[in-house]
Amino acid sequence: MTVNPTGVDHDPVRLAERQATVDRLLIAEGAGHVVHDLPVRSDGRSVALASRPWRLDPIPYRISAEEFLWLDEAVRRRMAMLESLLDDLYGDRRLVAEGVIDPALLWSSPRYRLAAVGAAERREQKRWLSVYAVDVARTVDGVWFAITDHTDAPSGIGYALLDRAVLGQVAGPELASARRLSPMLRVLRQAFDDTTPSVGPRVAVFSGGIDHPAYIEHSYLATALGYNLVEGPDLVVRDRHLWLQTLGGLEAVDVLYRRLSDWSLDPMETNTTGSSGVPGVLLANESGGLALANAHGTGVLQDPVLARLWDRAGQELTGDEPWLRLRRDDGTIDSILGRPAERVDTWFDDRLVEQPVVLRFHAVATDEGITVMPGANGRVLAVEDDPRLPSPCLAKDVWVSAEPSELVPSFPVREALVAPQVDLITSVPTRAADSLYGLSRAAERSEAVARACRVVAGSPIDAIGEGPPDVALQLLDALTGPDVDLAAVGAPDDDGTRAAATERETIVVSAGQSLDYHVGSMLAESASVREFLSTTTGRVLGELVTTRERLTSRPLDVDALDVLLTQLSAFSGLWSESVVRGPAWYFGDFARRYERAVVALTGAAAAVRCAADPLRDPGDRRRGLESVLAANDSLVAYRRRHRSDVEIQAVLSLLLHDDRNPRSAGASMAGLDRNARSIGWFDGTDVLAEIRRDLDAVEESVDVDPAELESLITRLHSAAAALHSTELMAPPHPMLVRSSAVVDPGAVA
Amino acid sequence: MSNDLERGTVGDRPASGPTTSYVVTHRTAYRYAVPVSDAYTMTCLLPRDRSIQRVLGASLDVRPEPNEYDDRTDVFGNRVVQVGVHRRHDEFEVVATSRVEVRPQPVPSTPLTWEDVAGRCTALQGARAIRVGPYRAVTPSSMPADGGAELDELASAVFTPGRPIVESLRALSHLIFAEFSFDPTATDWATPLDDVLRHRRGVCQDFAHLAIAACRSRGLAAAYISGYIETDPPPGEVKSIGADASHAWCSVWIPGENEAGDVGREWFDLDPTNDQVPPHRHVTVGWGRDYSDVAPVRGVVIGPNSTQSMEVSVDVRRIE
Repeated sequence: MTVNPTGVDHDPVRLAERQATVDRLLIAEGAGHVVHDLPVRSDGRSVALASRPWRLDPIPYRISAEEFLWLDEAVRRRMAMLESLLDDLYGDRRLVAEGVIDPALLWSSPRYRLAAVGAAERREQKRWLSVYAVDVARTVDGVWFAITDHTDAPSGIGYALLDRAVLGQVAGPELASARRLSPMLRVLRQAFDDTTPSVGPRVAVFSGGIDHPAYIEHSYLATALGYNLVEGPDLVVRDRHLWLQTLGGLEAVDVLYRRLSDWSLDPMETNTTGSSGVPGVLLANESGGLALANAHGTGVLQDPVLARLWDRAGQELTGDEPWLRLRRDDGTIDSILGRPAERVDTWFDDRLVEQPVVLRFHAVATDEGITVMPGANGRVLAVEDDPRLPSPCLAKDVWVSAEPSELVPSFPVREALVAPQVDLITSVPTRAADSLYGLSRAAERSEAVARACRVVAGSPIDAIGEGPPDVALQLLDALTGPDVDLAAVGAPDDDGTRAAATERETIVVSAGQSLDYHVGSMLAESASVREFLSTTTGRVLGELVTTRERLTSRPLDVDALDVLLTQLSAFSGLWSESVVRGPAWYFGDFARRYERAVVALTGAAAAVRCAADPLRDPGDRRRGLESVLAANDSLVAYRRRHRSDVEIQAVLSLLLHDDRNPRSAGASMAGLDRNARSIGWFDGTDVLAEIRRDLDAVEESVDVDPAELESLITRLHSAAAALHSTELMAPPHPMLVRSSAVVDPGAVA
Repeated sequence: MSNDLERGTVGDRPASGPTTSYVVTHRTAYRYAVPVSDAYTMTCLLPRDRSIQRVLGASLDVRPEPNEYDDRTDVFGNRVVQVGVHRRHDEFEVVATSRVEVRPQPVPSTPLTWEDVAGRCTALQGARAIRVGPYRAVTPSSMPADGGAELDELASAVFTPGRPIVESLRALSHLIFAEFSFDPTATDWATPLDDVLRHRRGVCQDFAHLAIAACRSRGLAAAYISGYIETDPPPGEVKSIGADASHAWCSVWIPGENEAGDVGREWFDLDPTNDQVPPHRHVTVGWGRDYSDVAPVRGVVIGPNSTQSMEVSVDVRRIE
């Protein structure tokens, strides 16, 4: 066993164990996998590559207390210098007047935001930079250089907290000597309060949504800070103020902790791109008291052409020489630094290797001054990587050694003046409620299809092509039909046996696609409402990714289906036991009961068709009814109630009317009514009561017309659609109005 | 106002000469196939004063009645109005009506060559560097993505060594006028300069961008001007209302004779579409680095995705 100066055990077996645990913990946070190739979300946006996966090196990077003392001062000075630069570039422009910065270069940069010129005087915002991050690297001989400044919407504090939380679970007692990071959350809260003169402002984290590469961090930080996580469609500007659209109406927002680039904030600004922003948000910023952290315009410091000028310009402006100098050349880390970068021990692909590393330090500005986080995001590089480009990410936690007296962190933080401003349980963005609704529907539907698949997979294969069609297969078809384009699968053959085999194949293939779709929807919807779900739920969802992949190639893999059903049960257990009851939960639960009622009615219709089929013999009918019960997870309930052969009357009673069977249509309708009342959707309770009345009137006999059951399904669908369109309509996305083209009448000379 | 990039030209020493008055009406109407619930519109339609133009009155009519109306001055000193309509509507109309008085622009009598002007322009310091510098910027519309050689060829033909600045600009205007055809079907609101150079056709906006690009490639400061031009009816016909249109041309910085004192009248306009140097019968609305800085109307509507149709009419009427 070797112990190196970091104090961490470098025994390969221990490291491998730690790595495995770290990987699992990251997956639980939704951070360890790539969410890709998921279907369209309920609000119409498709989900592309959402996050790069990263692994966390079990070996931390250690910085001594003395060395951090220097870094702390260097980062603080750099942030202060950049703040002065922004003041000048958007204010007096002394640097331009004195010829230090060529105005043509400045005005050529798309990152120089014209709307921010002179804005500091117009808006009530105390500073340009509230948060700042800088990537640094150290040479073998111990000199630190800055490689990139992050001034626009820096990311990483959340990742640092997340990585530390994960590593903290596997690290030994040596972690006790590293300075803690969690006090940074208080500093951050204070920084956002301090952006604006108003007292006790309402802050929201403004994210680009699940498509944003750093979405996991946005959601982690929002949860940790106790702020709403909001996206463009959640926000609206009225009367020069910014408002959050919640289920309860509009709620004023005073500070946006923006995680979007400044050039995408307001489509009304010249030269903006995309429609992820909020129209008018800059107007609210300038004349409605809204503060942005960081301020609009700070991205100019990241312009690759201009960045070369900042060190000199900053020195001209402040008279101080920067401690951390920026190296802006392209190339590998060694060529950028001009001499080899230091190599550090890294556990990579089950081997101990020495690699270069880039560290991202974070600084936060409050009225008290600038605080540098005593830690960083380490990123392990391959020797040939350009450190400014994203690389397949191996993260490294960074430990700053504490002097014994510093073990209790001494952050200059005031006690909070005002208690948390908002009850996040009742203040639910409409879009989040919509996603929870979609998530619950997809979960319930996945379960129904998976259960039916499981029954089909378990039926004897030699029966195929003989006698009347398999009831389970028909039910599966009914449960999956409308979602999947069957034409894509191909037409059946003329030959009888082949035709039956092909029909089975067709249904199975489309069931596989349907499962893929619904489980994918669960993942897509859940990713955007992670702050409502527990960490354990995150772990279940992470595992669903693997199961979904297994089923894609073999939809009738019995083992994979059983795993899926277990995971879905875990998910629904967590949903009922670990999610706080509030509007969001009631919407989700409504969706769940609605799908369940539809599934029970679909099963009942299949049961009636089977029982009334003159081509089936009694044994065949009994097997068919059993399949229906099994697919509805009601077979055990049936056996407990009726110690007899399966009879259609008893089946219908159990599926339709038995309130004690939690999977019956009746019990689901009762749940729908409860949820509708909790939401306050009183228009809907009458409609639901009528459906309930007609459901109760359905005869429990073989003479029931399946069409009667199907018409109940149709009415349920329209009731749910009415709820969705009146209460949940996610605000549609903005579209650009084309400007009037300049077309002139031609030469008139 | 420190944001006004051409502050000095307003009223310092008004250009002399006979004035002409115009009433301009610019109407833009949108119709949506499905009603939209929320619309935000930004306009740059109200004209501003300059040394050769005085605005006697200007107003904006918006229908439906907007919930928000914000009138301000942008970084270039242009008047921009942002309006919001936050209720269901399927038609939106904005009408700008203005009365202006214009004078002919005097031709600078400077002996400076284009090289002299470019040299002084790049060496500017102080407040003038802040005012003039932005118009040397290279923006996406004023720089071909890959047609740098073609642009250079055009600029070399015009900016020959030692040529006086005014003569150079006249040559530039004439070359574009002679070698490029006016063709409203050739380009739309966002045609890259490369296409204009390749196909040798375009509209006024493209020709203004082209002239600007040529000037900036030689170190000169050039502004994009958005405005109107008075048009004559075809012979024998009565001029029909609304037949005019928005127009675009450009203006180039030329230092005044007395650099120490006079910072007025430092800009000289050219209209390559009509080969008028300086232009006459033109009404200025505003200026910027390129079209996107002064787009007359742009905006965002929120609602179900559907089709929209737009109708624009402009009427420039001379007041006798």
